[in-house]
Amino acid sequence: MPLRLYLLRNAETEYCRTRRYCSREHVSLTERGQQMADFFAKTYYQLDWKALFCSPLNHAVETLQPLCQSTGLDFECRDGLRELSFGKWEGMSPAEVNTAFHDDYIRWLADPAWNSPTQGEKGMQVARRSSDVLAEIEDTYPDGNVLIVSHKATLRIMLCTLLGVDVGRYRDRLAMPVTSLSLVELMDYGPFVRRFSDCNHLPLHLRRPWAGNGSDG
Amino acid sequence: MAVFLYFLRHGQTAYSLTGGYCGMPENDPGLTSEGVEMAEQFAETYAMLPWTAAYVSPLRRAVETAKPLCQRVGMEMQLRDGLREVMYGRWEGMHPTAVDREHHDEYVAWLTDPAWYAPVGGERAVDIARRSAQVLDEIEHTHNTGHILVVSHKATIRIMLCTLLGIDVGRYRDRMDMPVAAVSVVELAKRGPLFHTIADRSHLSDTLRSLPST
Repeated sequence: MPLRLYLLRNAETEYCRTRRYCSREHVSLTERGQQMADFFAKTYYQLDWKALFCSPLNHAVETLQPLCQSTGLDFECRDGLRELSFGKWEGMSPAEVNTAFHDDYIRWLADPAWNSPTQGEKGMQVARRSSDVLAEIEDTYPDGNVLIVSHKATLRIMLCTLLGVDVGRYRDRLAMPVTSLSLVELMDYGPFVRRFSDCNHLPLHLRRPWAGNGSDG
Repeated sequence: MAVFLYFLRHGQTAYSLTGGYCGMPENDPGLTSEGVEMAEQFAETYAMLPWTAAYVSPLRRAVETAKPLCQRVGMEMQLRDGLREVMYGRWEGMHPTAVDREHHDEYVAWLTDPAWYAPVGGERAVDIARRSAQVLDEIEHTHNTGHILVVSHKATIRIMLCTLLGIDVGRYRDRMDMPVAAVSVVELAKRGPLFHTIADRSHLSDTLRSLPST
């Protein structure tokens, strides 16, 4: 069996629900988010987990907690798994950022790999720090199931580096709803995507509606 | 609303069970009874979508996979040669271990870069990328909105997904899985192709999902 990386996005917070940028500490899940975390645990607690890695941000930890409770497993926090820092945009909506930091916003939309939110992080910085965590996991676990709980931008950037997609395209190519799970196996020829953005562990009413997943027809 | 593309790999065939190469029109197996069941379960789950069109490879296994949904929702299949499987030339019908034994050097060259190196007498991935891109182009020009079914094959679908994601076409075999009857959903959004899911099989029963697939 190869090393199997399960990449889990945090469950819903008030910031995700209202579509505002968030990479800060001490954010809790909404009640729906809590349910999402419970459903994730219910589907995946029986898997033979070798290790659990988590972003130190509270909304990632709260997403992982139900799984830890039902398995009795402990997790390790890594700063490299934090969300991309949004700097001055923290807590703002895209429309507000467009008004208050117009030029920075345009540059960031055009290439978020090499441009950062005002006083925040470039996509490339996140690619580098998250790659350190992936390297650590690869060195420590030659095989087995390893869970990585992180965030929307960070996980998409990690997937871009694993797949060989330009990091500057992470926002445009990959959708990643809350509590979605992607599975990448490290095979003989490199990273092999088994599943991407799977939400089948959630009941329909907790999935983000989009025109194709049956949640809103 | 944008255009949503649903890339569906055909259901189980005798070849998909054993992993033999199969792409020529002369080597055109139909679905097994489990393969037909997969197609029916796909139709069952996805019939509720407001379908706009279905573009289907003319090979039997693809047509048979598209049939249950098309019949159910009254949609005509648009057959397109561009969606055919890679033609494997002299490797047609052979298992990878036999190819490795009998065409060793060519096999290694193909494994190294299937984009620019063809199976002996067969097609390169760049050739597939070009002919399938013409179908994608036709879809983009014909439809501004809607849900479009694209039924094709393991290599051809992965090559299309690589071109849409911006992955080197030569990496299509190594970067993603595509078991039989798997669905991948790509939205043609304002800023280009946005991937919603890759190789989802939640429409299949546990029994069908647990069958071996290459």
